[in-house]
Amino acid sequence: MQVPYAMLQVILAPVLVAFLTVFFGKYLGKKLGWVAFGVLAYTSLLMINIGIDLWNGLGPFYEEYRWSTSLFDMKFGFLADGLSLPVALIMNMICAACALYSIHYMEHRIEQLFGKEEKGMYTVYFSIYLLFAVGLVGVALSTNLIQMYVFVELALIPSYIMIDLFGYVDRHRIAMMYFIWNHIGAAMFLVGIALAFVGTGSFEITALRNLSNASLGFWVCFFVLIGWLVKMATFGFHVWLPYAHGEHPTSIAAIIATIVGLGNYVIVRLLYGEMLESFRIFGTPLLVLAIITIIYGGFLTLAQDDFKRLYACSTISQTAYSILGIATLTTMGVAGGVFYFLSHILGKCVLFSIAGIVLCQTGIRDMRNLGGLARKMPLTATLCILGSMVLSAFPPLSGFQGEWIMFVGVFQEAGASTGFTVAIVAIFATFLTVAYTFWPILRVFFGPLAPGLENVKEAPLSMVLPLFVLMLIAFIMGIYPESVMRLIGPVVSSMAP
Amino acid sequence: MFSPPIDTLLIFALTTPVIGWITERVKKVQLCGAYSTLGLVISLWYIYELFGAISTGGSQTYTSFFSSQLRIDMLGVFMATIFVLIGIFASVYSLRYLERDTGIPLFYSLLLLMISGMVGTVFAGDFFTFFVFWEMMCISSYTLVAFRKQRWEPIEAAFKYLIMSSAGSATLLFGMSILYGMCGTLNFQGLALALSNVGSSVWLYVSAIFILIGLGVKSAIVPLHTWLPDAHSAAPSPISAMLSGVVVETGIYAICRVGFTILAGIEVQWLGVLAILSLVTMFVGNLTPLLQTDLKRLLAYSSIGHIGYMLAGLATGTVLGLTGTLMHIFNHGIMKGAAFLCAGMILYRLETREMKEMAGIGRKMPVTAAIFALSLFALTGMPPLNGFISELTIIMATVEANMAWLGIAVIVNSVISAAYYLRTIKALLQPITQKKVEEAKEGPLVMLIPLLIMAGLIIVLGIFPDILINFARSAAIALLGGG
Repeated sequence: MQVPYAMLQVILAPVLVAFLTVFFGKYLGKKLGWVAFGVLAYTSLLMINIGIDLWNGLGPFYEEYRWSTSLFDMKFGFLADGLSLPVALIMNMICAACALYSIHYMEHRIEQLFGKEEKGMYTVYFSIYLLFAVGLVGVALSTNLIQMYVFVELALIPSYIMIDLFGYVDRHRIAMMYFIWNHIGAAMFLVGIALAFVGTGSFEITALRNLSNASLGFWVCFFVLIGWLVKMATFGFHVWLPYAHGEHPTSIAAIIATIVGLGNYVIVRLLYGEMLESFRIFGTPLLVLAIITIIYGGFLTLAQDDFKRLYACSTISQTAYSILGIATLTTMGVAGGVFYFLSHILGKCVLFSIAGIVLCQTGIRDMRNLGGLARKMPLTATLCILGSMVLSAFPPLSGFQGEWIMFVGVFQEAGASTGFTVAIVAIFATFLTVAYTFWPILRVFFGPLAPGLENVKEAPLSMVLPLFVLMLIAFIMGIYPESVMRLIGPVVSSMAP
Repeated sequence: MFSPPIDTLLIFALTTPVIGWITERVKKVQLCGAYSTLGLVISLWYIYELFGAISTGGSQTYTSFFSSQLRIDMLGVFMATIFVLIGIFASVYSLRYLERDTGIPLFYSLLLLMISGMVGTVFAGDFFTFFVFWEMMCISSYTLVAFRKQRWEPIEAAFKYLIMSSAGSATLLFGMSILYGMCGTLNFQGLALALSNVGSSVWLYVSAIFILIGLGVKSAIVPLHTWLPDAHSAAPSPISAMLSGVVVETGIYAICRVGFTILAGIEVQWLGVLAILSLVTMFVGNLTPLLQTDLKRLLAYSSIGHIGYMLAGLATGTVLGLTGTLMHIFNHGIMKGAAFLCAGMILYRLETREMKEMAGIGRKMPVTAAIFALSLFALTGMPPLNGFISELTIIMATVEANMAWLGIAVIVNSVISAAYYLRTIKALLQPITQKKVEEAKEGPLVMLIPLLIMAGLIIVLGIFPDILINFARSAAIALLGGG
């Protein structure tokens, strides 16, 4: 069944609610979280509906709204195909889950920062939270480069304001640092767009195809790639990430990992999908960069004592796995890269939220002062183990399938000697992941109960339950990878020449 | 006489004091503001009629006494529309804003004179008429900056503005006199014709330098910008909106008109100079606001940055670039106008311009703060608002004209500018610290109405930009010819 204007609703409904929130927020206070959850759940259902049609072999679905045609051809188009829909849907579901999670979390955080009577801050938080979610989903559904840039910015500015208002420790300075790095990334992307326009006379993503063989193609690829590598915090551009993700309010940090990973989708959609010829030159350098980032990120993570920063740092190396898959430029590698990105954001969202729960219930971030919490918080401990299993690719959760598909791709590329070396190094590097995800579990949840934690309680269900739902999705993706691969696979294989 | 829009404005400007004298007697001085708003609306209607006549029948010529000549083309109509439009907003807003001041009929009379000066400047067909109206605009704007004469700051700012701007006018006049000496005419078309025969002589360069300096002072091109932050922040807020939104842009218009008609022979040279100046102007205009804590001063400095963007479009010398510049003039008028009027609203309630002292005002004045944030996002070039469309056009024009470095500079600057605009928005959202903020209320409805309309325009012109693009392009074509 088709809902009319389904994708426009996905974008507009949260914007509209965010706008109304400004005026009615003060009557609702923290109940706004339920409103935010409601609208995001509704848009998720709309996308699931489209997904069912795609699963049955219909589509891809396309909606187009005219923006301006006088000088440039600018359209608002929304495309739901097998590649964009799973990405958009999973991001939207994560946002919905975090909306529920943040009801209790933000109550704690706002009370801590501003005192009890600050009801207005809920309005600020949830209205920009919805805009942020729209930005993320919008990037995935865009068919037009300018439109994509619009949504990238729409995701950036709310997250900046949120870290500035609700973040931890040195939040004003870190917020500015986060904003500048990411805005420079976006500006590079805009330069790439402008160059592409010069070559093709159009902002449509599909028009990039006409550029494939021109020398301009190299520079377009270069700028788009640099822009997104900054946002993906690969080695050399990673400085901002541990700070920004470490100090964000955890509900947002969980989603921020999504923005970081979103770069993978954009690279597949724009560079691999439309201008493979120009992109081919960047394959090997990207492969090397990915492997450096994986190892560097892994060691960086092992060195952390701070529970939140730990997961922030692990994002660096986890995102690089997806880049590794994409850089092989094989169908399996690319599809696995996207699959792994989806699986990683599910796992990372849960883990960040766990860090938030622990911080919320105990007030401690330093893992040296934590220990033995499993008896006090069994549900949280279970979730943390599940999330770590996703990240370190234990079957039957989704991480394993993602890595499996991706490494098949890497070995296909392995005819070249560098490819083979890279594959071996990357597989050994996964041991690092196991170490840095499970060792902290040992430190935080097992062993003797740390002093001062005798009265810690289990987190409320509104925080734990949405996370279990996310883990359920990861579980389904793990035992039945076909659920996502059937959508992603054909699109990616049709992109290959 | 001077074409219907200007005549209306002048008649209303001259009768406003009389009406004001009567309304002051009956203690209803606001009626005088309503009267001058009516004059502006009528004038806008006449401009619309002119638009119809010109789009079908080409440019219109009016000759009046002293054989001063008006030649109205699409560019003139385009500029006049934005002048009168922002004028209406400022005039409605002033109905409440100035309620604690005296001399209100004088204020409205001067406002109308300033607008008629600007409209006259863009309608002028020869240098003489141009200069007369130009000075009319300048002199009334000096007085308006110093309108709150009981305080020292506006007086000082206006005096600085007066000295710098009249020095600029004098150099402009000198440049004009050299041109007259060379060609024996002041008519724009006559000059263009005569100079195309002369070719490039040394005197042409000399005159071009003087004219560009004279116009550069008015349009606050770095290093001639030093008067702007003082004057724009000290003026009453509706006047700041006028000064930043349209008066400064009159200078940009004049550079376009003089440059592309009279100095067309040495276009390559002065366009190159403008490109460099544009770069300097935008960097100065976007780096200095980072240091400001005074809200209106911050906005005033950012106007300099936007002048830089406009010059970047202008420096390409193409129809696309000029279209971008004109669109940015229009959009900047609305965005910056809205921003200054919002700042004025906060000033009206809190009587402070310090950003620290207004922390959290967004909770108490949600509508004002929402519009303020919207206008600041538009100024940053945040899509899909109107500022984005015009900045994008400028960037595209620079890339198309093989001046990509200038386009990249615009992008870099919009990144820098985001930092201070976001700082301002943050100040609105922060927890309340001051007692007077706790007690503040939302602004009065009369002042909110123009703001709401402007906010509507910011969104509508962003999402449906085609009308404005076509209008601006026809204006650019009227000046440059061809398509």
